[in-house]
Amino acid sequence: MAPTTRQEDSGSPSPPTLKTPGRGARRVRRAFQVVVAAVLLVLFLFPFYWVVITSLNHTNQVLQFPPSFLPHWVFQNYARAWSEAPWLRYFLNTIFIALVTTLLVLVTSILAGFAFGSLRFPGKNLIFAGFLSIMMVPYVVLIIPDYIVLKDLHWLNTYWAQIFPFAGSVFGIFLLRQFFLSLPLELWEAAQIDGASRFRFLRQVALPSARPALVTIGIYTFLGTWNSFLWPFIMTSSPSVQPIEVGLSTFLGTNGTDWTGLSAAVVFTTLPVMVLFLLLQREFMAGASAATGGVKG
Amino acid sequence: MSQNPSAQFVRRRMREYFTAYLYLTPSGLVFLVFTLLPALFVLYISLFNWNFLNESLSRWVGLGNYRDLVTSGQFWHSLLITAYFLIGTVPVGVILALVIAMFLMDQVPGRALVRLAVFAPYVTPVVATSIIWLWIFNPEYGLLNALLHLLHLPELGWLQSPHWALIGIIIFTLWHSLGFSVIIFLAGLSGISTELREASRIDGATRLQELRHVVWPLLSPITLFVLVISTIGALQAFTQFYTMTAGGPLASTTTTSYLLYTLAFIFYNTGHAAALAVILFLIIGGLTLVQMGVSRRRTFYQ
Amino acid sequence: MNTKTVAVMAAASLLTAGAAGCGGTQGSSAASTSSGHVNITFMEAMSSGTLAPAMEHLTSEFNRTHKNITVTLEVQASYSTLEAKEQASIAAGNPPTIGQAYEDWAATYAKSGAIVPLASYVHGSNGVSSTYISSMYKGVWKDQFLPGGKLYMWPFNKSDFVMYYNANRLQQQHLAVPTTWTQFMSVTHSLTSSSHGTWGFSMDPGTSSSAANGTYLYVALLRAYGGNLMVNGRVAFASQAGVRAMNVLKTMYDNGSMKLGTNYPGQTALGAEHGAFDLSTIASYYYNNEAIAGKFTMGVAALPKGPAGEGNVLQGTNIVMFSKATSAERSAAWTFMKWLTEPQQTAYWAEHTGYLPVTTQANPLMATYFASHPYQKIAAESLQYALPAPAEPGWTEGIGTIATAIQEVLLQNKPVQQVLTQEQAAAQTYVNQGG
Repeated sequence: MAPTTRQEDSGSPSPPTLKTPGRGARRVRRAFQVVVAAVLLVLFLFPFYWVVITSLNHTNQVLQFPPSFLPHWVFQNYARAWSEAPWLRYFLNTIFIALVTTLLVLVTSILAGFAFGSLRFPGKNLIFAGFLSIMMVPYVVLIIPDYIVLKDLHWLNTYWAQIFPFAGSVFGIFLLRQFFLSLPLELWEAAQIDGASRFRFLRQVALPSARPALVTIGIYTFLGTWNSFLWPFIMTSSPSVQPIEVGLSTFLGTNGTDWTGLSAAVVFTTLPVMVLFLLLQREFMAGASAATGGVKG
Repeated sequence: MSQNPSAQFVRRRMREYFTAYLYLTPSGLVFLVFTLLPALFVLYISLFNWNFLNESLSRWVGLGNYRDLVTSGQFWHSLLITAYFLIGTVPVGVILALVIAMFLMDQVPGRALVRLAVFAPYVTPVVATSIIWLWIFNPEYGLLNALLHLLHLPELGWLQSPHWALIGIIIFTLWHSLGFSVIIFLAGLSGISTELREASRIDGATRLQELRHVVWPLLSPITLFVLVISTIGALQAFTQFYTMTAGGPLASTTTTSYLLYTLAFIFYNTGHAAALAVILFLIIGGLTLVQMGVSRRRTFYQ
Repeated sequence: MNTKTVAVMAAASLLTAGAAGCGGTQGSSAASTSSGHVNITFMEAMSSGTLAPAMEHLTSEFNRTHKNITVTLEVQASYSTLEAKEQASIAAGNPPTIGQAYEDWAATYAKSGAIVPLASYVHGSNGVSSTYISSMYKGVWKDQFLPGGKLYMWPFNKSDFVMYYNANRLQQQHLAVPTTWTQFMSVTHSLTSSSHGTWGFSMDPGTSSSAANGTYLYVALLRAYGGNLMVNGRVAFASQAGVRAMNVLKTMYDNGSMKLGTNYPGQTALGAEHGAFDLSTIASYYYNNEAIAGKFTMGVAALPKGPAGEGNVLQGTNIVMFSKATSAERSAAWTFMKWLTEPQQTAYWAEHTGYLPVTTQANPLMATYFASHPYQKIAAESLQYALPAPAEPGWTEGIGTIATAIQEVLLQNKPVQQVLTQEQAAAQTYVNQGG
């Protein structure tokens, strides 16, 4: 297999020198591309449009067949849905859990990544292999024993149950190790001559260069925590500590027949993620190819 | 090794060792407490008729839980459903993602927007998006049947039908996670030098030939990687099954992961669930080994 | 990120293993103070619609009138969360004082010694009179016992099935409200029209892991045709009555007058004027009314009768007392449980939630209410036919076999007798394993 996957240029590759077909053929081709692009846009975006429309209609307009394709600006759905569950609490819980988890993952990954990438110590390869093997244990398998462990720690139904099991990331450690390994040794030697401590070296020299990796780890840990469901669903039971997705699932259970209100809830719970995505889309895309091991369900 | 074993040197070395172990401790502890020990613990539980309410009433049954599982119809049925789900999402998903990525490599109008649209479902939560699709799939009032009705095609039961429910979930899953594979393929494709593709086109190669003889071979490490990643994801998929069908109708969407959940947290049949977890671990673990082989090959690719 | 942040975060992560016990909301253990004041906790799932305010009102009323006792509610979002939370708290040795429980949960708890028998309280010095017990609805009283004859539960939120219908539609078509299942089948059939997008009713057959209204509807039909879920401790729904009951569902499904769905499809279909009926519990009255939103008049009647009369299913939970509680907490909890079922409170609860009073002694207090809410009276009268589900530890799984049977017959066209025999055997296995 050819090892030619290195990226020469992360920008869009423009192949203007490709063999140019005839004018007519080009026009047909162009039309075809426009059609395919439009179909893709509709396929992937229409469900989002649909939930917004549903959330802005009366129940009658939604339950008729065929359903209404245009909004009727019924904002009561939002007011009703918002008043029927502690959404603010769910949001604050989610933000707190996601922020703390992200911070902890960054810290533990930086420390361990630095140790593996830049420090010498006995048993390094063995420990590294041990860390990598952690990745082999899927979380579905861990749900039962971790439930019992958390129960014995009296951590069920707390924030900690949703934070600490995810405070270490093999993917994060692995990614940062790669960065620290690639740091030229002379940098560290020069720093030593200046009398810098290892910690100062880590902070002032190593970390700034690892910035892209840190952004990737941060974004995907945050997103993974925000979107996680099974774990908090099993490990928590009261809205005071539950994240937004579990809250939404409870709402589906208690208000599942109120489709317009439910749609409104889907819209306002999804909006923050969407905004975050639109603001940071470049980082999301760049991170996707690297983030493959770091996203949890 | 150094030729100057002075006391200062030894002290510095010891300090470096100490720093290293200190830096490894936080993540090491997390892995130990929440992954390594629990993984051994689940193996232990699987050998007991575990009484969840009162652990002292648990009874040693040896391999009894495993025997019960492999002799029960629901275990094998869940494997079958899991296999269908894998086939429907993984190979199909890889091919679709590759086709979309190739399409987006060209100077397509609105390219950035399309890329954003394809990726958007992946970043949105599964609970929220599966609720949207639950509504689209509704046989009486849903969009999909309205569409079929307009086209004078027979309307389907979708998630209410044992024949269509899994297909519905597969459609949702493809919609939700295709974007991730597309982005990875895009990154991989942009790494294939344009000269190579250009050369093949000058030689008069068709698009299909270009795909088969140039792009596909060069892309194969990435393809394999995407395959393994999505296989592992599919084996652990839970949320859409919980929200959209709860494993039904009948057991038509009860995958092995979903069965694990019902055994463990609805029926509190902890011993059997633990045995099922161990089996699932062996299956996923085998696939992860493949993934590690692949990722070692792709380390130079950030 | 500066030095301080890194150091703080590193320290925080080092504390991972040592931070047990700090923070969080785990704290459901009841505590009594030396002054004779007793604090007790009640874990419940009355969290939606009108339930939460009614529950809170009753509790604060009790706390106000009983100075020595403070009841704290631990509200859970749903019954499944409630069960999980109760299980976890029992396993962690940290249960509430009392909690809502279905019959089969209680059976499971009792098997592990997690709840206490209540006979000594019910018949004790602070107990209830025999007049009171005889004024309780028969089905409700029988519902409090576990197999073996021990009284482990005390009734709380009980309901049963009624038939909701679109009165305008029936009137337009000059159809009488059906009183037998045979009439029901013909009325629903004549209201079914694919060109108008109308049908008789929708129901949720449930899944093997969670029963739904449709599952219990089959049980009601089974009883109306003279059958029983269990006879002499053996699962027995594959009887002739069971086959006839299943054939009622099959006929209606095959001719299009009954549709299947999930998430209270009957309510949605009725509210959207597609379905003419909804067979559901009286506790859905409020939600059905919301769904209809004044578009037509909703009628309520008793479930249709079969050859053996009306069959009905007792729904809703009872209260159990967990064995971790001290004797002071236990007697305080009993005082609260008893108080909740006194005529005045059970009447308040019924009037504000749509659940049913557990004693006929509440009827005089509810006369005005029954006059303006005749449907509640209909449901209360049906209580005499409403039998509980078997209180077997394995019945959570056992009831799932009925959901499977319904779907195999309707969706896969399998022969009724064969399916019932097979699922009856499966249910028996679950009961054997659970017991």
